[in-house]
Amino acid sequence: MSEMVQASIYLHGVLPLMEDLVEYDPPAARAIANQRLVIQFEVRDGPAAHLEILEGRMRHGTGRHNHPHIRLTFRTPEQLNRLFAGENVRPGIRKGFTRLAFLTKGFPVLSDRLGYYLEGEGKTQTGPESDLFQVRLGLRAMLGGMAAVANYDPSLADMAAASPTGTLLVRVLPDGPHGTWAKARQNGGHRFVATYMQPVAHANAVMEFGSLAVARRVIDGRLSAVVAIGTGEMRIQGLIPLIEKANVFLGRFSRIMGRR
Amino acid sequence: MADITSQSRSYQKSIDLFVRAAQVIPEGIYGHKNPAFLLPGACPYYAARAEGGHYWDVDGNEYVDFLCSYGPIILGHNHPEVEEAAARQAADGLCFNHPGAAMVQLAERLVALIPGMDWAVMAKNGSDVTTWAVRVAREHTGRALVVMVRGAYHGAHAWCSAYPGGVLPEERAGVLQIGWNRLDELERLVQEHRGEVAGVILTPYHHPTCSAQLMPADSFWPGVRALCDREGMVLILDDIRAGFRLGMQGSLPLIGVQPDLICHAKAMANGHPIAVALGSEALRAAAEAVFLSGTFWFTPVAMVAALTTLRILEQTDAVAHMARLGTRLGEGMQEGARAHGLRVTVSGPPALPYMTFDDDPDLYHMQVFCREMIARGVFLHPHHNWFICAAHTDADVDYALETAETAFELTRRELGG
Repeated sequence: MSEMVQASIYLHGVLPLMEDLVEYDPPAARAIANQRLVIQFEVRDGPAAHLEILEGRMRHGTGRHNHPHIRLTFRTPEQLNRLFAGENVRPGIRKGFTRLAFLTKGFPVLSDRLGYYLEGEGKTQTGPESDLFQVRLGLRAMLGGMAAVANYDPSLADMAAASPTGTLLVRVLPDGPHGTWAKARQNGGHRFVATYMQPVAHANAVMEFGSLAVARRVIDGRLSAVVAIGTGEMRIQGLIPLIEKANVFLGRFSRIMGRR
Repeated sequence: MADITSQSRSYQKSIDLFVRAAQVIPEGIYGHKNPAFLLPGACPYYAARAEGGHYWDVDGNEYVDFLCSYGPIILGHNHPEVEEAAARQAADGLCFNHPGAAMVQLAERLVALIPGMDWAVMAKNGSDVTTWAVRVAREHTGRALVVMVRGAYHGAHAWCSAYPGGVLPEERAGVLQIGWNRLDELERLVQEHRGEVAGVILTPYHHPTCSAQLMPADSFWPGVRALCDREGMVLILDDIRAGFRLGMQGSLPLIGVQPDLICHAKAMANGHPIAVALGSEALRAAAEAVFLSGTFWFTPVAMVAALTTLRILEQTDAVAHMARLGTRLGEGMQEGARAHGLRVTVSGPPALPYMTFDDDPDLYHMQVFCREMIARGVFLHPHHNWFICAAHTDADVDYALETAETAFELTRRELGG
């Protein structure tokens, strides 16, 4: 698996989870309190994303921000990956020397708290609020990770090219979180993008979890999606070729995350 | 048909089996029979028995079978003459140290039946023979590349699989792709890779999943043949899906040119597992050089079943009957849709029709329509072409069209026109 794919997963599949984290977790919320900041992450000749912190909320964006306060440039994707893996890495800081305190004090708190919910004790918490939070994290990571893999995994480039253009809506019934994974035409080529909790005008295909409990069990790996589809606990409809391709990218994303 | 309509359908035994299967079988049901490719939760997953043009699932629900096991059933399930011949052979033994006489008889029969073909080899599944045919083309020409059509299905092997799992880039590197009917793309590819293309493998017409079937343009097959002749490339006809449903010479009359290699499987032994590759004399030396074998590839039961099936097809009006019923079904579907303000297109040869809703690129209408048909005992696949068999009757088609009246109306109500 290439370092570029992993870096893209971190930027588009993991970094967005910070938005949900600061809404749910008090220590994370405190870490960004009173901050007004845009942090740009970018890999040279590779993926870029940014986090915007304002009034106790955080917003993730793909690509480059026009006016970041801090710009972290990673010479290689491997350098970014090591940072996300918790190693002491010094990216090139091209802007924002006066705002570095947040990077050395606030950001590690966010990183630790996210790790707590993704891989630590927080992952096993149960109850309506925990279920909803874990499903939000899982759904968002899945959609962003699928887009990252589809855009950057060279071994799946043919599959990405062969995928029909269109939008796959993934939602949790009856009124749970939802998001999309879509292939769009761009500059004579194509680009895969993920959205989360945005309005969806038309979905070419739909994948539905029958309930929050089903979604939690699938995301935790306690219920196989194959079985859930077979039993009707998950439902798929619409443009089957789009769902088939999405399934390939999801499988690759899951294996990459499982190997970390 | 009253029995079918009165049934209250449950798929619970199918679902229970599937849950058990998922514990011990990857994906529960793998490949093209996976429920996700059908209508999960709204169709059976497991079959119990079949007779003629009908089958019963493990929950006891009966269906008019317009999928025919994805093609192999051509005379009807459990055909008495075929099964009697197969049983006689089975009584003599199933698997020997040597081939049986049936292998020679079947090769002779096929060579006599299909013009331009001088020899035949036998295997079990379509993938076995398409893959082998590609290797024969490479051996014959000493070239590496082969051209196929985007979205065409030639089997599950690495060189042509639509799925990347476990496939090395090197295994796909020898395959170039063109669009269906795109002779210009083929000419350009051959120009770009002059002297490197071993052959072209094509289905007689384009039958992708999830979209309308496309017949060949008048100039396509003659153009491909001419290009193969000019450039010394081998032309392979993958006639596995359509095959003898179109006639005793398979799709040869449809394509109007002579291929160098032809692959058959599916509907040649009425459900018994067998695949064949046939070739011209010019390819015999290459065929002898490409090792071909399989433990069960020489078992005679399926060969006897194939001989019997071919005889019945030839001696009866089965082919014309399937075409007539398929035409009735297709025309009736179009009329039924129109009556409910819906527009559909029925594509492909009449014996292998597929219907698509004209304003439904995402297949939502098709899925609701097929769900309602299946719920009323007419098994129509929403994503794969359908099959007519010789055991289907006018009453089966009548029932399907009556049911379609309801299904079209329910589709319109649920999704609009």
